[in-house]
Amino acid sequence: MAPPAITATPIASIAEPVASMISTRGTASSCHRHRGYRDDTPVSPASNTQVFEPVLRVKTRCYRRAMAAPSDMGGRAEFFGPVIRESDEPVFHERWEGRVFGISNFLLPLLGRNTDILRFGFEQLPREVYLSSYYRRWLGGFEKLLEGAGYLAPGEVDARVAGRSASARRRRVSRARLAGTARLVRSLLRPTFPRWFAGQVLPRMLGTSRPALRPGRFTIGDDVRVRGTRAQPYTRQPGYVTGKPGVIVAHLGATLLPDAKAVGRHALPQHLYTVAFRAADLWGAAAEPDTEVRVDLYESYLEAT
Amino acid sequence: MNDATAARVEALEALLVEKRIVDPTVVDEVIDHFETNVGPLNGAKVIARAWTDPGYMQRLLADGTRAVAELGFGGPEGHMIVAVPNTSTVHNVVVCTLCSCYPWPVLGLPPSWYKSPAYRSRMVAQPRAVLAEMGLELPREVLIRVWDSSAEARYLVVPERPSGTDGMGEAELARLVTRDSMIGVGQPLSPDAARDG
Repeated sequence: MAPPAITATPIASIAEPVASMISTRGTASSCHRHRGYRDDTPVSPASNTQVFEPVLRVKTRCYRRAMAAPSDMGGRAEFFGPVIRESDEPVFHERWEGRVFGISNFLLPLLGRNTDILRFGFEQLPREVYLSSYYRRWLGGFEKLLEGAGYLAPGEVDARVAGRSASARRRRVSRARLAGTARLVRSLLRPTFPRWFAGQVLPRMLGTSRPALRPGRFTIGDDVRVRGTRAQPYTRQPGYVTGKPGVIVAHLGATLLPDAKAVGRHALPQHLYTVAFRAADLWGAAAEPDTEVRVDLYESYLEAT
Repeated sequence: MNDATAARVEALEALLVEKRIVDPTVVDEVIDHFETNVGPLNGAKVIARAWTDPGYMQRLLADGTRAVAELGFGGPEGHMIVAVPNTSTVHNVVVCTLCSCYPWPVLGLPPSWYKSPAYRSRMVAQPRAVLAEMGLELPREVLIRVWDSSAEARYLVVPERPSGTDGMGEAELARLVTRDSMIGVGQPLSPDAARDG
């Protein structure tokens, strides 16, 4: 019997090592023996913004990503451990967690920021802050947002904690804007809404679905491959599907592109697809039998195969 | 860490209130809303309705956002709800590897374990093992389908209706639907377990 044909994947450059990894999948699986892809490049504590040049390690045929952000956790063995459930967990464990959450819900509309700007802010926090706790991350993210927008001076919170007052004159918000934001936030705090409001108004108000200006490139059933690099400096393309083959299983319409939204860049609405991946294609020999992963990916993340 | 963080949050809030950038009474109301109005009981009502009304089940699977809106639910993190049904051959489970996306209007805010690095990193790579550790052993012939909510959609698992529940009404059925069963890391309670519990 002839050996199975190796798919001839064109390797454009060394910058797409994942493509080469897939074309030699048989031998590459050894790098999955630790059940997850390795990411052992040291991360600069000063910043998690990384230059995403995947490096091909010829010896093991593993690829590793230079300075992977801690937020991109899928499949990363360094984060593996037992999942610990707490019985009768409260919504907020500490009073401050609720305060941070409540303040954030007020500030997001007041400052006119979207969740992607917020998440991008979280991802830029020092690694130890990002990993310390969920609401600690929110606190750090909002402090940065407030400083960036000119409402807080650098060091102002520190000074306040130390009992000093920083007298820096800072940007203010008009009374009308404060009252308007309060009204808007309050309008969402209801146990239930009229059906038409919940079904038609809220999704338009809070979601980012937009009419597409051109038809989508893919249809359900298409074989695709996720592009071999991740967009910088922010993207919703998880590292573990980067360069991997999958199949389109759903089309979710078109929405604003988070990669652009997070940095205030204008971009046309993009078609969004659900892509199914076989576990073996993601994890090689370490894959569990009869499992698949589905990920929602924007059109620009995908290539036809 | 917590004392220092608590002091920092207090300082930040005091500054923001002094500067009139935040209205603290609205902050109180937001906290109260997420502690009392929003939670998995909402999702349980949706699932119980779907179990008893085949037409509603169809609408839920076709357009989750509109179907949960029929019960009045909607809001932040619920603008594109996609309901995925468990069957005898497919088991669905939800994770967000990039952050902690979760369908707030139907499930409330996510529990700590959902936001933990262990769950976020492992669920896509070792779903069978993680589910078994969490007490859900699935037969080999059941396909495990992991949904990594990486973009707009927020996924709600529709568990299978437990046996021995014929003739039960919506309210009674809703008591069997657990949060974990709507994330996909558990099953609904059996009528016996619900009675004992």
